[in-house]
Amino acid sequence: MEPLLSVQNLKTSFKTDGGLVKAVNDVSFDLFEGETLGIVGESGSGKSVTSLSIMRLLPSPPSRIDPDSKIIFKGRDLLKLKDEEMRKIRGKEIAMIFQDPMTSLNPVLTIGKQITESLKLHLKMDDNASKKRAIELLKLVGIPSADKRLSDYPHQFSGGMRQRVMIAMAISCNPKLLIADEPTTALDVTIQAQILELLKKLRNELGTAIMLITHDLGVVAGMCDRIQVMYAGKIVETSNSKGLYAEPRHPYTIGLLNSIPRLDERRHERLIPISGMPPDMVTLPPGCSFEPRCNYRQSAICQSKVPELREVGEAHKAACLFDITRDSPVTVKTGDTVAAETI
Amino acid sequence: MIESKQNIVLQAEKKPGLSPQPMADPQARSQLADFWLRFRKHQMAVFGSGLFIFLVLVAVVGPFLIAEPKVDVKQMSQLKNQPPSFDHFFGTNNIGLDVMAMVVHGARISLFLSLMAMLVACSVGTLFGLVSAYFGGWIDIVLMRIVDIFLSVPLLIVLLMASRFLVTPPPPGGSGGKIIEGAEIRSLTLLPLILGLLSWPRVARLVRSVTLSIKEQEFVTGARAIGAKNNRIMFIHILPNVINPVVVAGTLLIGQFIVLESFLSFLGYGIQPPLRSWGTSLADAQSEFSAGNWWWAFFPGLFILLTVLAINFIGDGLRDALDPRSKQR
Repeated sequence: MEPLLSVQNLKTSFKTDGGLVKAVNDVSFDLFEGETLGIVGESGSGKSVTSLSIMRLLPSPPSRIDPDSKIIFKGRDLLKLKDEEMRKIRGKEIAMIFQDPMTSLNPVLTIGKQITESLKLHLKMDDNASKKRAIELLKLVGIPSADKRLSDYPHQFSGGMRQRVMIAMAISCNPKLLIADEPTTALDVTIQAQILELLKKLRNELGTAIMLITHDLGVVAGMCDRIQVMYAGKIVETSNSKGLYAEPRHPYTIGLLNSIPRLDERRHERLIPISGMPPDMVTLPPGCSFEPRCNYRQSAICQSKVPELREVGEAHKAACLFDITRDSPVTVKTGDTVAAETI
Repeated sequence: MIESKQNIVLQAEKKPGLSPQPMADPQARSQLADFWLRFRKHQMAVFGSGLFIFLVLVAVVGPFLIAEPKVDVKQMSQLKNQPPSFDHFFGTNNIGLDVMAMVVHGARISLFLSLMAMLVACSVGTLFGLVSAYFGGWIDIVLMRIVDIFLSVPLLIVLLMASRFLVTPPPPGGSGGKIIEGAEIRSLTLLPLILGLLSWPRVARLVRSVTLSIKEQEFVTGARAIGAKNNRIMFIHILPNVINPVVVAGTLLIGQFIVLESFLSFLGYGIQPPLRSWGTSLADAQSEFSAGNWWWAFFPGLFILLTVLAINFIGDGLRDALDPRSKQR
């Protein structure tokens, strides 16, 4: 089956005063119709830049997408499209939900005006039709008295409600792909659950493919078919979500899972954090970029060779030179790592 | 408040059969009502608005109530240089014209002229600032250098150069002015243009700086993400967000222009006779002032002072009321 979206060797870099930041460094993945893909990683791992590159929303300069990169969406390379053609895809074929609902709605325009905008733009609806559709959409995302709220301004909505409005805007033209860039990060936990539930419901009803970007492994767990873990601009592990949680095969993923409290574990067990800091994206280490923080590292080998993403199980890939599992013996004690960091 | 709202939402979701409670939060006010609440707290601004409305009424309605000042040649000797009295509240000038009539008719010209100049300055400035900041890069550099050039042009030099269009020149070799057709109309259209075109750079810089910060906000990326075009993003999404400081600046500009117009008319480069503004009345009075006939200069001056004062109060109030950071009640 032809994938809906195929990202091939995406390299996005930023020119800064400090040097060239390779925010996304050779990332390839496929996303099929109706599939939900989770992209997980810490701040600066390149997950947002990946999504903004797909939408071509990065200002250039300072950003630059490598000419060899390809983003094939429904058989067309988005990176080769003219601005005019790309505008027709944005909002209609690929829609996006942003992180902070407090800033992603225009404070001076009514909700109705903002929702109807893409309807008028892409589907050429008139005022009446778009208003009707906007009310339908607001009902769909669970906003009560939708018809009365169209003339309200964003500041009259709570954070969760605003995120619902954002979602209503995003799904207004029935996009094939919905990119949700940390849609729940700015919300509290109850609302977060509600929003995820809503996204699930919409996915099941509308069959939209979703790319869910988050730094929270818990958010993607119940939601995604496949999960991709990013670190320092690269995909370090990808698997279906069951496999990733049951058998993480990359030291970084193992570290992430170890640092999350689990309900089914004994209470007095300590959480194990990942030591060190995210790498400086300008001066990445020559070998594996996770090596300085890795508990399983064998420095001589890890510093000399860049690990490629390779098959480690069924539909499970990891970018580590060694076959690491949860049961692998730790080669470096945490104390040593800290000492190494301080030097 | 947010929590209770959330509760209502949850309940409404759980019981879809029940008629949902009206969600319109009684505490949530429209932006206009919000603005008015904050503006009202600014007492000086409310006072200023009242005063300004009065002055506008004087300009609009006054000329219908008080006849245009005309020279009555027969009675000139009795009428001239009368101090304020019940017949002439503001007194009369050296050719027997009623000063109150002059002030009332001058108000129309003075206010119209400064309003027009403000509109020119604000529209040109906003357009320049918006385009410059939104596109950035070389467009920004070119437009901002144009702004720099305009900022470095001294007003008086431009007016001196423009004066041959503005001022009715004395006929060569002869004495006694022969009024050139249309000079007064020209002064009325050209002056706002000149004043406006010399003041827009400040507005442009202001709008540029606000736009620079607005365009980095997520909703602008959001607008691009739904496929909106540049023009649409600039004028529908960004412009309403930068209009507040422009309103404040524009209000204060009106005050400045009233003073500038008086100053220019005083120098003879402003409004041309037979049109009369507060400035021209002041200018005509300059010789009489020292002779002790204070009223001729005092009343136009007082009106200029009151207008500028009112406008500055309004401007201060607007600045506070429109500032999104002062959301508290």
